[in-house]
Order: sequence, then structure tokens, then C-alpha cells
Amino acid sequence: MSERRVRAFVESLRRNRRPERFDAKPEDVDAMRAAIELSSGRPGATLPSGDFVNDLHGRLAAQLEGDDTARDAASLSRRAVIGGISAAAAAAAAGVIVDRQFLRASTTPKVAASQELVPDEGIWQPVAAANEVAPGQVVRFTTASSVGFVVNDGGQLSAISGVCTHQGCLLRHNEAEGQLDCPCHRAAFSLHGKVLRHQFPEPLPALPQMQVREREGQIEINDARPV
Amino acid sequence: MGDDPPRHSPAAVPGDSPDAPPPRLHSVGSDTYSGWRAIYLDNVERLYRIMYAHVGNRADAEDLTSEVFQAALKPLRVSASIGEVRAYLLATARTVLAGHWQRHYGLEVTAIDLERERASMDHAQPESDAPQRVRTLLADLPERYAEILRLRFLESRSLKDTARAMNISVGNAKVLQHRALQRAATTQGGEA
Repeated sequence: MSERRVRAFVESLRRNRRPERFDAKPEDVDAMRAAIELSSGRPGATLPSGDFVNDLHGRLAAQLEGDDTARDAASLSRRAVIGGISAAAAAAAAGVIVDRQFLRASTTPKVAASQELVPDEGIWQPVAAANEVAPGQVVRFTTASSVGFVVNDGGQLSAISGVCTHQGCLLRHNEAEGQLDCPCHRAAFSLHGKVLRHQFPEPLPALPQMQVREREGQIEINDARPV
Repeated sequence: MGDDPPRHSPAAVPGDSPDAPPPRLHSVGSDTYSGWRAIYLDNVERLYRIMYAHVGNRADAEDLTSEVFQAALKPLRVSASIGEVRAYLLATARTVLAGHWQRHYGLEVTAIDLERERASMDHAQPESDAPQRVRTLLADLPERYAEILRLRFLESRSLKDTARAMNISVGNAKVLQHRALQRAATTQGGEA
């Protein structure tokens, strides 16, 4: 009977740590499975951290493109922060993935006002059909290098990053409240990117704005990183 | 177990069927991705959630999610539809998870139900239903069993703390936890 090892397995899961490997017996499976189910029930447990999402992106870029673009860009962004380059410039240089690095680093220094991501290069990318974003609607989009929301506020289009400025968790549109919620640490942003609430001792930056336009029946976002 | 050729084979990549209509390359329409980055960003949270729900800890969920993308993205044709891409990622995830259990524990503790997870992947904003499932599970258990599992997992208390809160010995808490987990497993039935 490997009850003791099952107990160690359970204890590891309780601490959200990797359990030690062992040769499980069929009679162990039920308790292990139940412990896994219960561990997944902790609020926010099943959300990946911004660090992980960012790091894996860098590794995949290196694997698939044979270069270290994302890693280079990330370290460039850190240097930019140290050197005092604006958030807009740093983010525009390498898109949202880099933006996350910047924003993580920016939780200690002073907080900038709401920033606009103004790419100095890049291409306009369609993210939705114009008729899918009717007045009053909010549509989530994903491009090659960014995640965000297009908002149609009475015919006025705007677009904001969909990545929390705390640790890079992906925001969710809370339709009932008309806001964007961060599932990781319960921060909330308005549909224009303004911070509505957070629980951190340091101020939280607003969500960066993105350039958006309607062209030939398509909503387009200006994306700093060409595909 | 481990790598399962039919699932990992490039021949199994969705969209490769000779009957499939010719794919549009780099289309950014509503049903295809613009590149591997878009595939990654749109699915990393979904896949991580599925993996976490099947291993119950962050380190393994991160490793297995990484393994899925590293195995799947290279042979994957970006021009495949979003649905096909997700089906392929999920099939790869199932194989990767099966390999994980077999390699490290010698038997399969959890398995990905393709049909159920496939449906959940298509939600615009992937929400985990795990907290709700756990609440339901605990509500169906005898009070003492539910209490120890709530203290241990949802409040993440140590055995010592839990024993104190329940006014029992640590030894009794260990036994109670084990029995509660076994009961929970039978209560959840074929869910996992």
C-alpha cells in the first residue's frame, strides 16, 4: 500500500508544487485524481502566470524561427526601462510580449499615466468585421503579437491591451459590470483602460491604448510586429 | 505509451485532408490564425487550464503545456482553421499527458476527454469550471469529509492546522483526509 506516497503527492498539490514521482498502484488512483480535482478548484489556480506565457513565447520563437527575437526584445525592453525610455516607445518596439516585461518592471518605479501604443512601424491588421463590433459592443482580439479589446462606444472605436499591467495575466470581459477583470489578482479596468480597482500597495498602470481604425468593412489594429 | 505516431504525425495535421478546400495562407479572417504567435496567444491559456486540471500543480502544468506547443506548432499548418488547430493541439495534449503519467507513475491517473475539452476550448473567454465543480463535489460529501478537504485544498492549510481546526489529532486528520479523497473520487464518478 502506498498510502504514504499518496499523502506526499496530495501534500505537494496542496502546496501547488510538483509531486515526487513514484510507481502508483491502481488503488492509489482515486485519491490522486480527487486531489487533482480539488487543487484545480482554487480560485485562479488554472491560469498561467504572465512570466510563463512570456518565457514560453520566447522559447518557441527561438525554436520556430531559429533566432532569439523575443528574448532579445525582452532584454531590450528592460534596458529601455532602466534608461528611462517611455512605455510607448518600449512597447512599440516589440509588441505586447515585450510590453509585459516592461510593465512588470514598472510596478516598482513611478506609474505613468495611460499610455498609447504608437508603433513607429508595423502594419494594420484586421481583427474583426466592422459589423461584429456594433455600438455598445466589446470584442476580444488576438493578433500575432498582441491581445486586446476593441470597444465601440456609441460609434466611437477604441482599442486597448487585454493584458493586465500587474503581471501580464489575460483580462476577461465582464459583460455584467461593463469592465475588464483580471482573474489573477482581482484588478479591474474600465473599457477605456482606466484602473477601477486593485489590491496592490503600489499604483497600477492603466491599460495601454492601441491604434484602431475601420477600413473596408474591417476593424484594424496597428500591430507593431509584422507577421 | 509516450509519443503516439498517429496523433503526432504531420499527416494528422488538420487541414491536410485531400478533401479539404485549399487553405488561404496568412488569412486573418475570423476562422484562421495569422501565424504561430496568434495560435500560441489564443490557446496558451486554454491549454494550460486543461493541463492544470489534469495534474493539479503549476510546475507540471507548465512543463506539459510547453511540451504540447513545442511538439505541435512546428508541423502545424497555420492555414488550418481555428477549430482544426485547437483539435490538433488538444489531441497532442492528450498524448503528452498520457506519456507524463505513464513515465512518472506507471499508470494513467487522469486523461483528457477530447469531446468535453474541445467544446470548452471554443468559449470566447476560457473560464475554468473547476471551482464550481469542486463546490458541487464538496456539497455532496458528508460534512466531516467536506470540511477537511475544504481546509486542506481551498484554504491550503497544513495537516497540523487542519487537525487543530477540526479538533482531532494529526494522525486522525491523515486518515480522514485519505477517506475523504476516496469518497470524493467515487462521488465525482466518471467526471475526471
